[in-house]
Amino acid sequence: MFEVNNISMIYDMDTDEKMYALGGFDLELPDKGLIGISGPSGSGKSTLMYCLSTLKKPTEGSVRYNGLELTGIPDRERETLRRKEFGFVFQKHYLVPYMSALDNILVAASDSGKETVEKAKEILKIMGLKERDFKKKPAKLSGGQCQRVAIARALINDPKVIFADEPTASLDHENAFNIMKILKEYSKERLVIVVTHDRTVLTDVDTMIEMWDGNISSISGRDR
Amino acid sequence: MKSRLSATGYIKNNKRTCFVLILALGLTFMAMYIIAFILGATTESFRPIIFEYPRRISFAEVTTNAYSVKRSDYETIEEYAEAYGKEYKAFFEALSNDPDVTKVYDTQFLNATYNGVIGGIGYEFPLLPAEEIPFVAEHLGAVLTGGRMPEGEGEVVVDEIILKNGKMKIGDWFLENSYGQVFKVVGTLRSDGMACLGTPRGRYNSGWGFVVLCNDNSKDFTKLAAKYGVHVSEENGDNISDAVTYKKMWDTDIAGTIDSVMKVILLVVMIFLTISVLIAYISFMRNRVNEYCLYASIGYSKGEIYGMIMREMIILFLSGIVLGVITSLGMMKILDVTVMEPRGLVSAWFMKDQLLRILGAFAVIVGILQIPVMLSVHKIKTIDLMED
Repeated sequence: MFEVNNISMIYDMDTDEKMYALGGFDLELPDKGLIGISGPSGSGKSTLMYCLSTLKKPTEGSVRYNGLELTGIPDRERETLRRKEFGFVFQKHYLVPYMSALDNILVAASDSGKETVEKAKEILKIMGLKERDFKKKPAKLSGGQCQRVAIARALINDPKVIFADEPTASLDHENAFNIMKILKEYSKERLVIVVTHDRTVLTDVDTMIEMWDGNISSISGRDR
Repeated sequence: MKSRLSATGYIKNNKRTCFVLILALGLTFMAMYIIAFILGATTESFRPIIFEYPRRISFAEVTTNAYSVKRSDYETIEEYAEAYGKEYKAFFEALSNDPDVTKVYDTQFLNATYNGVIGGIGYEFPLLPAEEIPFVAEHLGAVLTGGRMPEGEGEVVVDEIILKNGKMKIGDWFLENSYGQVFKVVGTLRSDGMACLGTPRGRYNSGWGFVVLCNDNSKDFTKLAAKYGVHVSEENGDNISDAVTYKKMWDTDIAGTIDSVMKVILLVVMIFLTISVLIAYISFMRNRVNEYCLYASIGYSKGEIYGMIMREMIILFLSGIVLGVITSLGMMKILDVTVMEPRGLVSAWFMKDQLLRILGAFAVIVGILQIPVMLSVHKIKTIDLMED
């Protein structure tokens, strides 16, 4: 699904002390499965995920998604891709504080209508939220519930890829385990990329990518 | 792909914040409209005196300079006086015979005063023999609504609005000054031009000259006199009160001044409002940075986010305007009953020009608000940049 060639990302390009967030490497990712990207802070794992998801543009190299060169497409196309084909789970849940749990999911939906509302409710149920919680605002939900709503928001358009950046960082062990279980389930049909520095949550990944200082130090997995 | 960014979502879920904003906009609208209403009441109140009254009556104190006889053409003062007298009489007769003049009087006149919310206006009314008064009242379209018509000397019938405006009643002294108590109010009139009439008492008056009962063809006294070789002008010291001079007074002293005052007030209020709304909106948008960044990250374009902000703004402004119109009408009713009506002032409820001016001011504010909105939209980051 993703084909990355010689990708590099340099911060502070105009200064003498250039900072290589990604140091130029190749990578291929399949159409489905749970991919874990791990490494210490500053190793470039989040930068790699954001380059894949079109949120960042690499300084050099190419990122192909189903044959489409992502680095060269206009902003409008990148936005459409993010809206229709990608789903995002961020470190913080980034729920809109004045919206109910249900509305927070619907705001990301690419379709409108009753079916979408029903679908959003269904996803919330799968995420373990009770019907009485659907109308609750984020301030009335627990941290784990908020993160599950954020995952539900990422799932509403049936994205082909889910990008999750430290999705369990603010959760206790039990909630973290449940979130990873949901993502694992989704990865049976689609691609889920999880970035984390906490390797304990990545015990069930299909492919594990270890990063160090802007480069991939190892790739391991069931199929490799 | 349909945008699901709803303009009403924020409003529905932040009723208190939005209500405060709508209330502020509505009260500003009301303040602007009521200022216009109060100032407008002055112009509206003066309108009958300026535009209706001089259509039926003119006053002229014509100096000797206006006639063709010159002192230098005569050796003795007696010869000059005789020639002037003849010309004066001929002019009076010519005016009397003019087909567009109902009647001419060479008589005294007195001033009535009408106070608006800002400033006041004085206008002449004739002092005539008692037997002439019903005829002149009829010409002026005035009907007796209380008391009686003047019978003895020094009596006046006063327009009921003027009477109310001057806090007078029948039996009061119309003019009470250093000369003593002169001109008693014996009755009230009602007419389109706020007419007053009276009988003379000695020589207590504010002018003496021609009183011309005119119509629309003869309401310009300068033109009328010129037909008969008498050339009156302010420069020569002639004192004319006719449709032309009243219109001039309206343009320069009343409407012109009040219009300028209104524009200045509106500008000051608009600047104040713009600054307040700018501050409120900047803080309003600052609180929602994370929300906008989320939208950008999950694939909404800046155009869609801008569209949502603008739709929200338009809903808030329109609600503010509707609230402003309703509260303005309510406040105007209260003002009319408590302030305007007891003072005999005429008020205009629906001021189309002012309404358009205020709506224009609001449109300008929305225009100015584009600057912080566009800056905010331009600065929207995606979440990856926020977490860097």
